[in-house]
Amino acid sequence: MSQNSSQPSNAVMASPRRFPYRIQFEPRLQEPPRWFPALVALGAVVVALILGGVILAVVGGDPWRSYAHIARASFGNVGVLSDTLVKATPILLTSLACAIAFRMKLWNIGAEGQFIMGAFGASAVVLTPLLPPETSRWIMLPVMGLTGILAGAIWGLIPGFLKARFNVNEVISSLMMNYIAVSWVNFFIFAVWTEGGFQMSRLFPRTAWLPRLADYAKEFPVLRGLTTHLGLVIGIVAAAVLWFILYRSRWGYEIRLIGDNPRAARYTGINIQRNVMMVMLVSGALAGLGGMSEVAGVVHRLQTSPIAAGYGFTGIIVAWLAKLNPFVIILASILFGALLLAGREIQPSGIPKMIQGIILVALIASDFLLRYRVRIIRIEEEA
Amino acid sequence: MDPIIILQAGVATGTVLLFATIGEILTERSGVLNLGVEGMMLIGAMSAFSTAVSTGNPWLGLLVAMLAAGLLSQVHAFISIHLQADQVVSGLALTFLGTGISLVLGEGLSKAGTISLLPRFSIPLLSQTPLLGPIFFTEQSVMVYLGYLLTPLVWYYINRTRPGLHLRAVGEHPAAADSLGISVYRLRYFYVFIGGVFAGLAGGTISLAISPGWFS
Repeated sequence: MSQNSSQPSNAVMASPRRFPYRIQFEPRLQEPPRWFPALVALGAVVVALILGGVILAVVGGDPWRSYAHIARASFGNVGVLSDTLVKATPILLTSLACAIAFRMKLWNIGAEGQFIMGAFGASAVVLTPLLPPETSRWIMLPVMGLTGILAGAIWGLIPGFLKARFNVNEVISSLMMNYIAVSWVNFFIFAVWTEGGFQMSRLFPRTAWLPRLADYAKEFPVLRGLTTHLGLVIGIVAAAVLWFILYRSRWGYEIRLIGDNPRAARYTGINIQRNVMMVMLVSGALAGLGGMSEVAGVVHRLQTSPIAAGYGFTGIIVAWLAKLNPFVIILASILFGALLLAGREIQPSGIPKMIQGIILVALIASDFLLRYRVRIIRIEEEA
Repeated sequence: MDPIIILQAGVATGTVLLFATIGEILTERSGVLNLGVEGMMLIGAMSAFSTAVSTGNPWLGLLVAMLAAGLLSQVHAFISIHLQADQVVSGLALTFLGTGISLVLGEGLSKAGTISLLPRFSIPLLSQTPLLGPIFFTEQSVMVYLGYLLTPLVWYYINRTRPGLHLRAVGEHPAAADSLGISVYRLRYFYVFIGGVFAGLAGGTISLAISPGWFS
């Protein structure tokens, strides 16, 4: 052990001389047990909540009351739980979009724009109108889903193509595409599809609404007022499909190999350029599907303010929190849906955003514990 | 609207981006990508306004903004340099963190009062230049002129001085820099801090010179 500690690369941080203990970090040589990453992530969230509480207390808030308020406003009864699930649905789909790209270490920061374009694509069916309003719901909704997926996929493919063909940094290009998407939709709701000069389109006909639990209140009175819509089911199915693709299919293996070791992937003959485009396409398609679900399930009209609410960015945190595992993403997006929902009522309004930021910082920092083990060594023992 | 006035305002608003960009150039040249500029700018804007309201001195506000943003940047520096986590995600986390903290701390600040702005003036001879004079040198904030000065200075620093050479070495070939006895970690921490300071300067410029106030 004393030999090992003489190497400066291992001793990342040395404590002051007088202190009888010394903290030392060593690279992990074998994989930690399976439960360990989950424990670390949970610990990071707890530490983040404590840190957030400290900041709240410093600025004069009451952390206990804030947290209790968040819990009550998002899980307190069936009604708000249903609202939480509504908020979780777009996050679920955007974070799945981020997860598949991040698994390949392809930093798609543009889920927000792809989400907005998905909403635009779905709305175009109703507003152009490609289909008359009296079309049956069974035709209308699948067509909206397809156009949403298509619009999102195109928006994802543009940075993907630039990356594959010209090696353009996808962080910057996909981020910039977000702003183009917002302005694009703004142009349409200001000028083309505006309703009476307001910055929104007209309300969609009922046939273009995703079915909600409340629609069945006649048969099951329990469901009255519950806003959870079919998008949640779509999201959960998408999560299962994505899990299957990533962990049980050949293509998923290629994606994971490129992410873990691009050079090895190239030498085994995997076409990286093609995979970059394919993954960005699917990533954009998932985010676009999220946009369709939001516009057809919640907003029911094209309008930027409730649609471009940063779901794409929250999706990045959620994907990271879930360690890119699609099933964990379902749980994590419900947690963040709760934070967003509570954020509407809680004052100051920045609290949920701050807590999100602290959680993400703590999570990234905690990854360190997965790669290194911490040893506390008595200095006398060494001498 | 008079195109001269639009261009004049464009120069003023562009100064904010200029400061943030200069800082980010210094950070990236040292080999660290910091996507948290937005968060640091917001922290800077909030703390500049808050300090200026409570002390009545905008210069002090600018100083606090630079320090606060520099301090926040060290979160990113620690995570990406010492913990070797992914810089893209860490930078984004910083954006969320900075936005959130500035919203929480800046709550109610928009009604806190008014501040005295940083001085505006015209440059005597240059403002008489046809076309360029009214756009660049008439009644601009002192921060705009600071931007004119800083840009060539930073270029000179990076490309023509010894510390600038060290900066580029650390970014382009850290192993070579290390074997020449340059502390890669220390320089990266330093330049991430400088990047934060510039982002704070940019944020302070927003709230103290360009669009005075704080809106959450």
